[in-house]
This record gives sequence, structure tokens and C-alpha cells, in this order.
Amino acid sequence: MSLAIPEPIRLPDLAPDRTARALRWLRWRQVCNTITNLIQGSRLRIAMILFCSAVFWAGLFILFLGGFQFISLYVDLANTIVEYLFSMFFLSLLVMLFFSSGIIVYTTLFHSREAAYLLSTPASTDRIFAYKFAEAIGFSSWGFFLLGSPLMVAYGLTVKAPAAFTQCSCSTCSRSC
Amino acid sequence: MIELEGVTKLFGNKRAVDRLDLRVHAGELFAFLGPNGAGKTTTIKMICGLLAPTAGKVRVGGQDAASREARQLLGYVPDQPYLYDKLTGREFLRFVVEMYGLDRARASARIDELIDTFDMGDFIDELCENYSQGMKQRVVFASALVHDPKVLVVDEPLVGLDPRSARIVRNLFVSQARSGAAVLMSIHLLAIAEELADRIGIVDHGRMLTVGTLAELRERAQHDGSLEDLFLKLTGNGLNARPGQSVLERAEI
Repeated sequence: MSLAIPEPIRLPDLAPDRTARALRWLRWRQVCNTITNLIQGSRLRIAMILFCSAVFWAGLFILFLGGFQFISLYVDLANTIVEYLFSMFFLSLLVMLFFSSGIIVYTTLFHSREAAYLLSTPASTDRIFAYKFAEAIGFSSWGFFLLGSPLMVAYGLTVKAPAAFTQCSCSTCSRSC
Repeated sequence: MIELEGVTKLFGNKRAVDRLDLRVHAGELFAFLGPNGAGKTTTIKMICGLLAPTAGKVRVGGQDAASREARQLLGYVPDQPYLYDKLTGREFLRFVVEMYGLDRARASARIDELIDTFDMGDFIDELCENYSQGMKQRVVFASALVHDPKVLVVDEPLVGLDPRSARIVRNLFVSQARSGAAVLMSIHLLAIAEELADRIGIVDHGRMLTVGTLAELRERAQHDGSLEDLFLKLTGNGLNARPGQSVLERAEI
């Protein structure tokens, strides 16, 4: 008596681009639905969130602008400030981002039911890791945008940098998110 | 279709699954029974490629269970189903279609068919965060079937379902198996297992105690009672029970 060994079943390969697009579409739909839901259901809450964010951003901007203008009375801001203050500021932000990203990646990858769900689909583990890593970076870097952009804009205005500097600062901060 | 050969899974010193052998063939509905902590969910997670075995081999459709090809063949309904709260049920099904790389036109027809089958028309365009447990369960079942899987693995399938949905799901298991899919369900409702399953496997402390049809299990255990009695006898919980005496009768005593 001989036992027939079943042939492995082969299905057509998944296009990696399609998985990536599906994950992007997933995030986009979640954001759209969240915003729609907030607008429809809790207008006061979203208005308060926007108002508080604007007040916080404006407060930081005024603080940085006043600080830079005061310092510029005593030192050559364009050269000295970049070397000392900015280096320290961005170094401390980097350390903060490093730890917060580590903690968030740990929770979003190993303690997440979504990750377990995605791993049961045919999506490659690399793709899932990239998706969750990008999410973790986004979650941990929003503070950088909130703290970094008023600082850069205030600095640009104080040293009378060209308009492109402000645009670049804002876009760099947004891209980092 | 599902093959486990000498599979062992250790969590530290704890042996969750111990040299488990199991085969579920195409067209077969297999009920996987065992007390809490017996290793059923760990075994299912290894079949789905979510856990790697410490020793042994797990294959789905001839492929390693962790491979992409195996996951493409598989439909999995976990005991705690996951849905994206901020997607509607229809959007979630569309997302699954994209993840499995299905033809969009055909998949759209399949989604409509599943919405009808599971009677989800009234709520499918609402956000999942507003669904009841039963509604979520129905969407998860639809998502597991949207790509017409060759292997369906279901962990505690009837939790949270109303009688009508439970009937639909039971019929669906049978129809999936009869259409050639291998269906493995872990279930605590022994009457359902007795009614639906082609073969039954009883596992305890990570070891397969017995596998076979209900008649084979009865013959092997020399026991003519219900599956419940047989289960309690095999798992060592049939304390002072007479053959044929149900749990309710024992409780009354």
C-alpha cells in the first residue's frame, strides 16, 4: 500500500504594492471616518481641541519669539544660537523621541490585536512591521511638530530669514510626523 | 489540508502543546475539544502562523503554516475577533479583499452575497464601534469567508451569536466542508460538535487524548453515553458519574 503525498496548493502571488495601498487606504479611511464622526457628533469637542492646540502653538511661538529677540540684543543669534541652543534642544528631542518610539513600537507591535490580525492575513511581515513602525513614529513625533514648528518660525522671523526657511521648517516638522 | 506532526509549544517551562499529531482533510469538519487551558487556542494560533512551534511541523495546504501561501488559503475567526472601530463593516470587508489580492469586481459580488447570507444589510454601513458582539461576530465570519478559504479555522465560533445567527454559522460550516474546505472548529458546546463534526479530537494538557468519529471514540472508550459524558470521562472530570448520566442529573444529585 502506498500513501499519496498531496501536492502543495499554490495560489498566484500577491502584489506587494496592493497590500501597501490597502494599508494606506485603511489609515486614510480611519482618519476620514474619525473626522466625519467628530464633526457630526462632537463639534464642541473638536472645536476645543483645535482652539487649545492653536493657543498652545501661539503661546509657544510668542515665548520663543520674545526669547530670541531678547537674546539677539546680546549675542549674534544667527551663529551662536544654532550652535548651542538648537543643538541641545534637538538632542533632547531626539532622546525623547527615541524612547517614546521604542515604547510605542513595543505596544503597537507586540501588544496589539491589530498586529495579530494583520499577521493572519497574507501580508508580508516586513510590510506589517513598516506599517506599524510608521504609525508609532507618527504617534511619538506629533509633539516634535507642536514644539519644533513655533521655535523654528520664531527663529526665522528673528534673524529675518527668507520665507523659504519658514516653509522648509514647517514642512520638515510635518514630514517628521 | 491541515497537518501537525509532533508539535510541541513551550512557554518558558510550561508545555502548552505536547507532541501533538493532527490531520484535517479537505471536505472534513473537525471539532477540536478540550477543557480550558488544554492548548486548543495555542494549537490554532500555530496553524494560523501566529505562533511558531518549539518543535514539530505545522503545514496548511502542504505549505509551512507561517508562509504567506498558507495564510492565503486560510480563513481564521479568533475567539476574540478584531475589527477596526473606525471602519464600517463594508469598508472592513473591502480591506480584506485588498489584503488577499482578490479581483475587485468578483469580490464586490461576494461581499454583497455575504451581507445577504449573514443578514447584515441593516448595519453594514455603520461604524464597527457601534456594533453589538453578535454583529461584530457576523462581520468577522464574513471577512473570513470573503476569499473563499480552503481552510477555515474557528475558535469558539458561537460566542455572542443569537440563535438565528448561530444557525446560519452552523449551516455555513457544514456547507464549507461539503464544498471541499477543511474546517477546524474549537468549541465548548459539545452538542454542536456531536451534531456537526465528521471527526472529533479531544485534547488535554496539550496532548491529544483521542481522535476519531463519535462512534470510534465511543468504541475506544467503551462508553455509550453522550459526547459530554465521554469528554468528562476522558478529561478526568467525570467524577462519580454513571455511564449515560448527564451533568444536569449529577447536579441534581
